[in-house]
Amino acid sequence: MAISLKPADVVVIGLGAAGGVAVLPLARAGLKVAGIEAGTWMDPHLDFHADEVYNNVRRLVTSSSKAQRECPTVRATTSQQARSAGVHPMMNAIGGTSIHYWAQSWRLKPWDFRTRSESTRRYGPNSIPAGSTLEDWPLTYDELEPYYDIIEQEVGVSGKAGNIQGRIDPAGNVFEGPRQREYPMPPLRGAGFTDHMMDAARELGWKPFRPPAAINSQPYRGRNPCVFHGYCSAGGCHVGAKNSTAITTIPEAVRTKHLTIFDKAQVTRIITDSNGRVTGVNYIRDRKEYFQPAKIVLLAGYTYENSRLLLLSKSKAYPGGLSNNHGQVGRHYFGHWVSNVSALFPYDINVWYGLPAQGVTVDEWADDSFDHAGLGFIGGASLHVYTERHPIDAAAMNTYGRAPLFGSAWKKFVHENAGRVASTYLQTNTFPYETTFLDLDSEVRDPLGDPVCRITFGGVRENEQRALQHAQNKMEQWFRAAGAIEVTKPPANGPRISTHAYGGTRMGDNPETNVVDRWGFSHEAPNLGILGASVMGSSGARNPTLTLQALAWRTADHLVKNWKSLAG
Amino acid sequence: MKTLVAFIDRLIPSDELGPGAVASGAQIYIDRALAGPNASEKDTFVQGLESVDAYAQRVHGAALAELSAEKRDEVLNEMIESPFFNRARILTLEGMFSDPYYGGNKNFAGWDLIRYPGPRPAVAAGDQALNADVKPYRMSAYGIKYGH
Ligand SMILES: Cc1cc2nc3c(=O)[nH]c(=O)nc-3n(C[C@H](O)[C@H](O)[C@H](O)COP(=O)(O)OP(=O)(O)OC[C@H]3O[C@@H](n4cnc5c(N)ncnc54)[C@H](O)[C@@H]3O)c2cc1C
Repeated sequence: MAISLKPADVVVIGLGAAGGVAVLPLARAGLKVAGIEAGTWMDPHLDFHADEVYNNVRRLVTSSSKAQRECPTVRATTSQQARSAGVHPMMNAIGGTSIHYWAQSWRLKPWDFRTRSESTRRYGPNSIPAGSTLEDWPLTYDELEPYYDIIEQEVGVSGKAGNIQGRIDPAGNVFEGPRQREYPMPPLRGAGFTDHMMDAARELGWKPFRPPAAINSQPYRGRNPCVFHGYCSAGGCHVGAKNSTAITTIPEAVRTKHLTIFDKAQVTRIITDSNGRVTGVNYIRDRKEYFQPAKIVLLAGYTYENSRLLLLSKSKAYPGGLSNNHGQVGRHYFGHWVSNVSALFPYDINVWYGLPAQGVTVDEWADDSFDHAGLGFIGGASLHVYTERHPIDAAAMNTYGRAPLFGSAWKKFVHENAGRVASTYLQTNTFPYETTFLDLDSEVRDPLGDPVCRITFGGVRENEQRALQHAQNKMEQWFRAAGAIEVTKPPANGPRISTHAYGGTRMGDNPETNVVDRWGFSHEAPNLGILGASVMGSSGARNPTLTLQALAWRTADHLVKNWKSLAG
Repeated sequence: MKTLVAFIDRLIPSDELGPGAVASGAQIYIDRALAGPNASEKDTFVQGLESVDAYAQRVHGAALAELSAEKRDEVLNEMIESPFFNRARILTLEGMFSDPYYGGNKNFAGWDLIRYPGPRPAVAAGDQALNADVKPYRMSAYGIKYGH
């Protein structure tokens, strides 16, 4: 029998990027919040190192055990046997994956919220990708704007505005939606190479800019600015310049004394009563099982765990899994299509130092920034060129057929060229499809005996393929204009498992096709809210975190304002 | 160990560009990795080394370590498509180019080879200039004890 604990007002499952911001408005409103987190506090001195083996080869910051133990399985279609994805890319800690992410902090475009109707209006109904389940979001960019602004201020985002209330500034992203004000910090400085790429883009007539990041470009609220030492990717920040929720909103919420953190605690089920309301959660800590009662439960365990926990939490009221009486849990899932087009330059580009968020971005070939008539796809990809290169990875470089793989000739080649390779991050507008979904694996189980999440990624996606190839060609054009002598374009494919995983508990007004309503609360269990990119119905051509944090804050804010009716 | 050394000595030989994998201690890195964090691949890796020797014996008449440098290069070229070659190469690169804390990259020979200027506490804008001649900062992330 589970040990029953003192009731809380709100339980938040998972204190990562999403749960970690939602606790703040709740705690400030004086609600008693229990934050139940599978991981624990990380120590910048013991856990974060300028060390490629530690961070990137052995993945010691990120290889926390719960995520690995329940790593999803993957298959292309339902007729195949799903196999383990190998490595789960996310982590367990207070702060979650915001500890070691790249911290690129994008707002989506107004178009992303209305892709279906805008594409239909501009290109006709046949422009909507065949087999996709794309819907307009139940809210507009303008409705989310105030929450984007709150997160940029509370978490701390550096950047340059391109559109303040309709006033366009070419130093920022001229394609962005209108913002109420400038970023709280200027953008991170450029490096010599990214400045050179910026000039090359301008010569092509494009409008490059320095992208936004949840990284301090100057001291911010008592925290240090970035030192550009080159070990940001998959590592935590030892000077506290990367604004994970572990050093921003969570400590702020702890200071209110209304947030209690239960660390190293794994939620195994969400419990419901016969009326279909949730009553609390069961969790395991130190092999003991506890029941934490609550008036409201907010689920924020990342996309794969969000769908899995719902499907595992079966009850009389929800025989097919919690909030799944319409069969929508796990549906409209998709992983973000991303790509690295790399290039070799005939001179030292010196990108050893810096960080992936330091760079230059071009947005003309993303979203609906260009006319798609006759192209056979909607959307596109953002092009981002960045810094930070580690020595093992650099030595393992492609030799482009110019040198053998070993021996003195190879040594000579890497001596000259290891410091001449540029990497990019292309992010594609990706959409949900009927045949891409999550469910529970029929065989593979975690050590507690529960099935892991199973990813079925479906067939060929011509829309995304064409959109990404189009963008890869633009990236090549940009590199060549800047003087590259070799350009490598990988095949345009979707991911098997993703660090940008969307859907499974999509947000929308129609309960027949969506799990949560426009505020993030279940259409079926009225006191259950869901946070994270699992509520997003399309990806945009950029990373998800700022958007999922803005949505999480908005859900928490809605809860505070409607406490009586929601808490019952 | 003898076979491993004979193998990685040809992957990254010592020459006029500086010390190779063996002189830099890449074998120490690999040995420690297989004893600890990479223990799960130890058996496969050791079997791989054994089959290299068996192959060298069969085709060239002696175990790898007994062959001349030229003959060993032939063996490496003949097995360049094999999973073992690929894995041994990756582990050697890890040993040669990792922080010296792990036993390889002695005197920062690996970082000097590829002209990586080393992790430094703070990086100035000038250190990121195009074509900058950045003075190498030669220090392990774990302190002077491991190399400086
Ligand atoms: C290397 C890398 C780079 C990235 N770079 C960027 C970037 O530049 N910009 C960007 O926007 N996004 C980036 N992302 C993606 C970003 O990390 C995610 O969008 C974000 O962290 C998702 O937030 P989340 O709260 O849903 O999940 P997480 O941040 O992963 O948090 C989930 C939390 O829930 C906890 N949890 C899970 N299950 C349970 C359970 N059953 N019981 C208790 N606790 C549980 C976990 O321990 C974890 O702490 C990156 C990701 C990676 C891996």
